[in-house]
Amino acid sequence: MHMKTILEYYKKFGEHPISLIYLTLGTGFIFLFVYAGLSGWIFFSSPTENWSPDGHTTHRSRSTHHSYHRYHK
Amino acid sequence: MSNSLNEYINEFFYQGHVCPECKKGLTIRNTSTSKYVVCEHCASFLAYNNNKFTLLHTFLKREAPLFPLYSKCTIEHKTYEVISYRYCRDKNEAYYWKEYTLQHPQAPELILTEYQGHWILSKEIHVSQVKKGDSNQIVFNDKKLKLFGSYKILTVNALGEFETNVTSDEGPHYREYVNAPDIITVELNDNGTVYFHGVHISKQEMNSLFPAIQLPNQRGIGSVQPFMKGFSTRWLWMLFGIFSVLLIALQMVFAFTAKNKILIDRNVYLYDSSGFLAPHVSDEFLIEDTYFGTTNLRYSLYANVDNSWFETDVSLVNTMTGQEIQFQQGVEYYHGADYSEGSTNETASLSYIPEGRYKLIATAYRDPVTINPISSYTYRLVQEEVIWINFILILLALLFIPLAMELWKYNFESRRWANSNFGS
Repeated sequence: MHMKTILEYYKKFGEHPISLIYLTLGTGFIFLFVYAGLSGWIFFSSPTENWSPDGHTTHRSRSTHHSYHRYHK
Repeated sequence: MSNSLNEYINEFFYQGHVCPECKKGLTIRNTSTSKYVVCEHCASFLAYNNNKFTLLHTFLKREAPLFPLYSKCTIEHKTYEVISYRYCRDKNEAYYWKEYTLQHPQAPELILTEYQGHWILSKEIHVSQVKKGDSNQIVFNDKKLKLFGSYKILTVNALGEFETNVTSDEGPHYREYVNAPDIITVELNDNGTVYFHGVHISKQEMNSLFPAIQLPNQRGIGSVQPFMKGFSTRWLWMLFGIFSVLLIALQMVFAFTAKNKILIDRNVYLYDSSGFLAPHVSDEFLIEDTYFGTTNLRYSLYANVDNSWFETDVSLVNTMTGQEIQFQQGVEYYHGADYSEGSTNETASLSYIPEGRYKLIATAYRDPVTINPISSYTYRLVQEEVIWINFILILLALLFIPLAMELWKYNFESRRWANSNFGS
């Protein structure tokens, strides 16, 4: 592919902001995916509750599914 | 006004042409080519021959033109003049539009059409530029255009001068083929076929052509109105393809390089030697070799439950810092003659766990009323499993914009073709 053709493609591509927005967003998603893969970040993981000795506690929701069976089965 | 003054005005402004109906002056710019003229005073449509005028029709003065006759505009560095105006109607259906003829002494005539605020600028092209395509299609500049409309014109009102009798019942038949922003209009008349190529003109472009004119607001979708100027969903799909290939490649790299390191694999008896349900404390284990100081863990639980449930409250305690990560995971399995529900195996995926030395403390709970009580369970903790949910979610996120734009475009095209008798 000649340089001129590439430039023509790029010019056409850049004619509308949606293409550029998608290029930016898509690149961002790819970087996010790489970071998540390397850092062990799972976008939808099991809920956990973190506690540290300095008193800082973070809460996340817990499933009530088991409670349902505990009392209704 | 005296007769002599009238004669002077007629002679000076109208080159001596006088309407036989209202006796007022008539303007004809192109006496060599124009064969018909409309009196701007009484709306008489007159045939012009050898400096004589014959009345053919009288228009109703409906829908005045947006641009006065002989107003000027500049297109591609040429100054054109509006020499005629028609307010047209489809002979068979109640569609109305306006047509203006723009003339330049050294350039072909242009036709400016307005329908519901949408503008098209057309000019005649040579027959060789158009090829026949499949059924109801023609090809122009390697672009396929689909049949959009087929009609005959009824001229409701007109102004200016014309080469043909626009009031004739035997007027041409027109067929319009579209592929936005292009339109090919095929005029079938007694002398043969004439082709016109037109393009959509945006309101901004029209405003620059006629800055002093208040243009009508757009309604609906124009027959050749582009979905978005300069935009093609093809680009988005091309980018989506590139991103998808990249994502699959990265996921394969993650899958093949995932440690899947078993940190603990234990079978735990529920009761201690005294017969009490005691918490389980694991040996110390090490989470290490992470890129950003964190990793994911998979906790798998197996308990041979039978029409009952079993649950573990788990704490991962960092033996160096004292920090705890707590979570719950249970299993439940119920079945009957015609159903089964749940499983004896379940897993929990833990995200973003900091590296360090840990112990696992598990407190177990079981169904107190079951007739099949369990006495032990098995759990396994694995570092860095292959994560598929991230891959799927990013792929869906990447798919969203092209898909949404495609649906938007589909809706746009549906609304465009709702104005056509020939479907999409």
